[in-house]
Amino acid sequence: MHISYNWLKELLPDLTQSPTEIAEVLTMGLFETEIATTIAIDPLTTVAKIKKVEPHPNADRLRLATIDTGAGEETIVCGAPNIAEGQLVPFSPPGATVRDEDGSNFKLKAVTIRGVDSPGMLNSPRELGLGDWHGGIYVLPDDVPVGSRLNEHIPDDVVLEVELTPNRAHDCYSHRGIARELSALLGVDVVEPAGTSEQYADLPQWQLEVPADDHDTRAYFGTLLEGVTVGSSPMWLQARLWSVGARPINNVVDVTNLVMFEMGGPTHAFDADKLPGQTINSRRAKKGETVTTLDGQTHKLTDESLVITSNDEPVALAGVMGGATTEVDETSSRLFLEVANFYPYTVYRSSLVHGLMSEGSQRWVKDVPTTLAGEASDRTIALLSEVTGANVIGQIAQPATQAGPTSISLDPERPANVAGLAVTREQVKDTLLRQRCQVDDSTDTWQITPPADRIDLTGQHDLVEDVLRLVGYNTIEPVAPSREKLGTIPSDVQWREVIRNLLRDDGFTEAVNVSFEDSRIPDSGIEASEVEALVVENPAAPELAGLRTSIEPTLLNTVLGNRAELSKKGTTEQALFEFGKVFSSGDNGSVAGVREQEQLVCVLVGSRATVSEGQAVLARIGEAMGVAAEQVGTLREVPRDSGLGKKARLPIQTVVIDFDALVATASGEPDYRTSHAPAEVTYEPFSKYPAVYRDVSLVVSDTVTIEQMQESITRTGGELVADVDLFDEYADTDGRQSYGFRIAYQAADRTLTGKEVAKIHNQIVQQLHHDLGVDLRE
Amino acid sequence: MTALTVDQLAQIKSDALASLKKVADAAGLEEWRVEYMGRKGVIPQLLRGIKDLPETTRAAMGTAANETRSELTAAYEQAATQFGAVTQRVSGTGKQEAVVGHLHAITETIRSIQTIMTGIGFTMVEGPLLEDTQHDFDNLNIGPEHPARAETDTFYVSGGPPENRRVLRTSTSSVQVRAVQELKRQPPFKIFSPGRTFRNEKVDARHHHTFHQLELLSVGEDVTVADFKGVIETLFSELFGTDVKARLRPHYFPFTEPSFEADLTCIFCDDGCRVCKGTGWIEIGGAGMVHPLVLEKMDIDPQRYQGFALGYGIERMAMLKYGIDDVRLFLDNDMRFLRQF
Ligand SMILES: [Zn+2]
Repeated sequence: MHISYNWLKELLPDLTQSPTEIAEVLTMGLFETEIATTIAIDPLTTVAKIKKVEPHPNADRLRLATIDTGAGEETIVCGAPNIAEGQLVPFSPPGATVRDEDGSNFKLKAVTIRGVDSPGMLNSPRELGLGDWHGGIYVLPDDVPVGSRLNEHIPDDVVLEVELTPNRAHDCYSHRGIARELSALLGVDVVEPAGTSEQYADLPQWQLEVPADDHDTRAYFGTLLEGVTVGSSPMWLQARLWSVGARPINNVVDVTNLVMFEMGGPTHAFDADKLPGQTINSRRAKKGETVTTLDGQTHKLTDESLVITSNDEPVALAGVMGGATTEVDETSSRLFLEVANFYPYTVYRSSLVHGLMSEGSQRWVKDVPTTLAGEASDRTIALLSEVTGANVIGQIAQPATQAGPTSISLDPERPANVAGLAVTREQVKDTLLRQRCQVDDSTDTWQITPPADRIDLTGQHDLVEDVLRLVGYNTIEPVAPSREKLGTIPSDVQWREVIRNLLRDDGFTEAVNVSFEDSRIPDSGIEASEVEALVVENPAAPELAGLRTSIEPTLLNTVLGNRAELSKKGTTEQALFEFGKVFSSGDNGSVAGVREQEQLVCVLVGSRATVSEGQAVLARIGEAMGVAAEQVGTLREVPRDSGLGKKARLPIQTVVIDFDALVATASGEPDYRTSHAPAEVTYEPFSKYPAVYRDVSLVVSDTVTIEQMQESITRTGGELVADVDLFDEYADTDGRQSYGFRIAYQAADRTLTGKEVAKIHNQIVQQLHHDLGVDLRE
Repeated sequence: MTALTVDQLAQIKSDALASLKKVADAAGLEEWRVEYMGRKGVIPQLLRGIKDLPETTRAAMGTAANETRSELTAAYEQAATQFGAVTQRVSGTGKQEAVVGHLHAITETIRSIQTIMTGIGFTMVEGPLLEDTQHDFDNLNIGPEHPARAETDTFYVSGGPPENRRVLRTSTSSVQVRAVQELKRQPPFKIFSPGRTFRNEKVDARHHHTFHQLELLSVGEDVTVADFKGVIETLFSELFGTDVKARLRPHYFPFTEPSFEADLTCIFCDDGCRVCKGTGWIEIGGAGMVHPLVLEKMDIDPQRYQGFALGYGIERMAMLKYGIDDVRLFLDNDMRFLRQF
């Protein structure tokens, strides 16, 4: 939520903190807050009046505007479609700073456009740093003095981005809400926005059909106003809207928006003369009904759509968006102002069903307090009278059914006991009073009555939180934990860790895959188990819908993905394993109809992929757990002619172990001692682009060392050489020594082409000869 | 780092060995370890600085610094047995020695957590990954119309009754109720539960639909916010091998109240760096005092007992511990990643 610093200052006249300090106070006291942006229109930008608009002699889409700047006349080249004689517009002369489309600022220069000089420009709101509208020049209201600086009307401001939490969005989604919180945190007073306090006449011709205690519509105030003049809003009101990134539309819409940003209550004004009739209701839509919203979309309504009806005809999507047929425009003279309260989940569903979100619906879903409706109605009426000249004819209303304020019992020692901090009774009382609670401390157990809009305060724990929040969480000093009694680790987990150690020591590397089985994995030719897979209804990707019934396919896919590494000549990395849960239809405990089991799968590849190696793995695990090797698991071979076998081009053996079953039959106790290595490894990034391997065989004299050759190779290859491996070493019959190196070429930012590799490989060979006198073996 | 010579390195080594000789007890030994071998210690800093050296000296210095580390490690381990201290594996000794494989970074991080948490009296528990909405939401004070339920990107699994649908657990918190109510645990108790969790999020460098969380739960008659602060400062100081302090900011979670967002003093700098975005603080995750309604779901009397709970991302911890910059690496299973741990 955007919060204007100027607006806060209006509500908190005694505020002395800077915007940065406010952000810090809010972050540590309630909501994470940072400075989002600033509004700072260049002082050189002034108000000018368009005297004449003529076509550009050399360009169809450009026009020449002759303007009165207050200090004289200028002719400006302008491409905007909306300029007309008589308008007041912003004018920035050369030297003024305006904003670019990508949000950066630049300084204007006098330019010549298609042969016509243009000493400055007329500005769109976006060019002035106001919102992101760039559809035309910003047309100002008629009463702004020509020649006056625009920043007198739209003063410099700092805009904060406040991240509301769901528990406080109902009362804090507005400038007043944040001002009240700052008041509690800083001890400064809030000047409450002024509303009317009149009693309105009834509207005998009009009828409101919303029943008392309605589930969806918890309050409804409908006010008929006449004598409205629709036009531009005064500059103070426009400045307020710009500060939160909203574009002024007309004085009626602007007032309703202002009240929403100010108090948090969305309101809506209908053109009263466009309503089909005088019977107003708020109800669920019937099948077959439609409504066209202000954005021009026509919605087919369902029983999840809440609509406002006039003579039973839907005229607005309640809480989401007004209807197009009753929109207020320049011709409107009578308004029907709706200030209601809608049930959050109803608006949430309707907004979801129609794929439509608005500033209003975003507030309703946070559960706007029902008591706000009357307040917001009075405030909107007062502003409409002031800004549009409207007079109230009368009102129809169904106020919220109010239960009297409920008090909460509080043990005044409780905050101290929860925090582990001395919190005095005075502090408890003071912090609650600052949050507008009534405090009755005449008995041992206090009675606290929260203000009506704090619907989140329902129990003692809520009060404890708000007391401690104001006392400050960081006044609580940590207490070091006791080391007297050690905790334990379940025996099945210990067995897992014992086997992890065993496998690691046996050269296995641990993989961790997702719990979904990728349907694109090539068939391994190994018969799948007979179990019934469970299916994710809303998978991360279509191919990830099945929960894995076995780790085997995913781990084999890991082998495929690492083929290049695992098939390197002379590699010792020939074994992988993975522990994890597998799922199927069945029953073994927590959730009915679900079988969730711990599985262990080992994979042996290359020269290690032999039956005897597989049997040795089973035997070692069996020995560690006191189980006969043949009871441990099953050993299988991936057929070389299977889909996966063909792709892998490596011998592969798998070992599949039902680890839950194995633990159940284990004898003896697992001998696992936890270990903790404090940050001894620092990860080194590697390229995600594939490496290309080239071998080189060198004949050398015995004075040249392996290190010298490696050094020459890496120096010449620079960053493109990822690795140099010695894979071969032997003496020739003529007594000379030969070495075979495999060089891995790789770039951090691209896949190397064959040409690039050939070029660098040649350079390396030449440099080796130059540096060390070594030659390629024939 | 200023450019060191091999001679200066030799001097550092002899200083370190000399000061190790003067160590008189396990506490002194730990101080020595932090000074020389800890995350911000002399030797790791040297090693990290090697890559910035001019190419001409890089190789020589790298070899020398690695040798120094091995020697100091050996000396430390010997001293540790002498004082009967818990041996902390100080440094990876490289991958020269024969064919030893690698455990996954997540496993290594969970093992560190196991060591630290059991050391301060927490007992490990596990729960199912495939849960029902009653355990994943209802028991945690997240009713059907609760915004948290709508905002959470939950994976639903077919089958199961409509009023209690099957889900892949969105947090490890569901273990709380299972471990307490179903096993009829009564306070005081301290449990921790590391494990896999799921959210249907778009995968990028910072998000994955599959990740791991650590759940802590401590309940008793007088378990306080002060205790919570002490536990997380201990956990993270030991995990990162350097002293960290915690700072709490107000936040909201349905299952705790008060709820906090916890920050730690940056483990990489004293006055602002890239990781902490110049603030000196690293955000570590959410926690709070267990909500009374959640205690009731565990059959615990909230009038009598109170406690704290937290759920932190294990990938986040591993990323900080090892300097990993992309969460996708954990599940990509690239050998070039896996073999680094
Ligand atoms: Zn830092």
